[in-house]
Amino acid sequence: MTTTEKSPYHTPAKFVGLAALAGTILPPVAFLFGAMSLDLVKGIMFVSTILWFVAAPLWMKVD
Amino acid sequence: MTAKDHGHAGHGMVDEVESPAVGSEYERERVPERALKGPSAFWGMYAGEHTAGTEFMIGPLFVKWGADAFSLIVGLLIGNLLAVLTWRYLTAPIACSERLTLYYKMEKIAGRGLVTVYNLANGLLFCFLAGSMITVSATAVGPFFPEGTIAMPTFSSTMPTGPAWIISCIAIGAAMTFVALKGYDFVALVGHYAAPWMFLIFLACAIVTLGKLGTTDVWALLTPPPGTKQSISFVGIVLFAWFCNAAMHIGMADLSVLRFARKPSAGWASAAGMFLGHYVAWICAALLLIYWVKERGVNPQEGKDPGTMVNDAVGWAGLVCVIIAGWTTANPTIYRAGLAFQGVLPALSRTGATLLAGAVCIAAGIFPAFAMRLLDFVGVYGTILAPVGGLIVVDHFLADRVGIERDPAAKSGVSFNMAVLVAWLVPVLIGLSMTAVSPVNPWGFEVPPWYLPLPCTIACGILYILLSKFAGGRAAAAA
Repeated sequence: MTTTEKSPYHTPAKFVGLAALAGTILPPVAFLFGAMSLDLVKGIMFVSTILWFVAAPLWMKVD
Repeated sequence: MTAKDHGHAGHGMVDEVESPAVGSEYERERVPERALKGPSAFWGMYAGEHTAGTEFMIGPLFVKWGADAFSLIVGLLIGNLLAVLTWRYLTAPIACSERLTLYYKMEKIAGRGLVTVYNLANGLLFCFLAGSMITVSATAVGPFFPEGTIAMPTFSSTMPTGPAWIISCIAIGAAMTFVALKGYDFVALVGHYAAPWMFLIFLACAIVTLGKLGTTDVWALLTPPPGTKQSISFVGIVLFAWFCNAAMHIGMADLSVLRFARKPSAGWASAAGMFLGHYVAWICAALLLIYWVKERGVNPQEGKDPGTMVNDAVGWAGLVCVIIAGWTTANPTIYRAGLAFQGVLPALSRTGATLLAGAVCIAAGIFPAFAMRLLDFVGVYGTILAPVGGLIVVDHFLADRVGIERDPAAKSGVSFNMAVLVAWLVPVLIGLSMTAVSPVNPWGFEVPPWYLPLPCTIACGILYILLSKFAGGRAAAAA
């Protein structure tokens, strides 16, 4: 994964993007250990999906 | 797979995805030094390209065929490693030495007329592959409607399941075709951005499934119940993983991509696609069906559609993943099929050719047979297209040693090198006649199609040497 350097949105987008990826994978892990309901897992994953597709174009560069 | 899975599509080098078939940069010349790319460009590309919608089908199909845990965990590891080594030590060195597209290199060996035949075969196979991606994506439409509104296909479905299914496939296929008409830089970008998220969705599906099953013992889950008929062996799994992308590595289609690599070591980047998409993602997808078999009483021979399984595991994020995974790989495939058809029918406009390709893809997508027999299909795909790689290997490594002309069509100006045609078709026709997909099998035994790409490629190379020497001898005698 490469990153852009000039966009003013780069740093916040990187933060949101990483949070979105965490929001995609950590809730299922929490569900595995019985710490979260499946409905909440699904909700967080969907919101994270939206956030990822907003943040990724501002952060990731196509080589 | 894919194709990559099988389909060779959806990667992130936007200048290159314009088309390896026709119309991309340096299409008829060596890639110049200034256009070469470092290895990082290829790692992301391979990771995105080989995590496609069809991965949701392949894992469950292994479960249907009774594959055991050792075959899935060790066999897939070995098969994917062999695929990576093929890319690294066969495809990439030729790509970095020649720096030409497969099509231009083929034209130099086989002649322009014969490349047109190859393009037609390629275009039709692309259509069926994109059709199976439309099928997978269409299964994600069902969960948005009340249960039973759209009858979903099962592993045994070959015909459309009803009007609602047909409408879903047409809607998704038409949207994909429309975007393909506009060019697919945008879709390539979406595929690039989606890749890391998509991989995590596959992983999330497996983790949630483990949570639902109340165990983390993946080995035990992947072990089929006693008495399960094993229709695919350890060797079969190894060969499937190795050759499901045979057209790309031994078939040399990835010359078009890797010709931009600074060094052959860029071939290692294929590991990202193989081990994320064709190892982790396949096993994750297999776990989805295992849950439905164990907890919901689904017959593994019938299976469950990917949309329903993914929605049940991770909800709408999963449905978005199924649609995007199918879309980002089917769309460039439709575009490339259009280009291939345009090569065969030059009078056809780009728009007309893409519409034709889109229509064929939609027709193929409506019939679930292609997606539900994906393992057979990718084997056939590799068996037909991989042997041309044998010609290129002979031309690149052996021609001088065995005393045949390099790039014979370019030197003689012929547009239809008959030695190539015979060397390509004879092994392919003999090979396919041994498979279950052949209407006529005179051999008395059947061979799974994914066993065939390597023997057919080797046979093609040997025949090409013999026929070229024979033709060269006759020409010398005539002179």
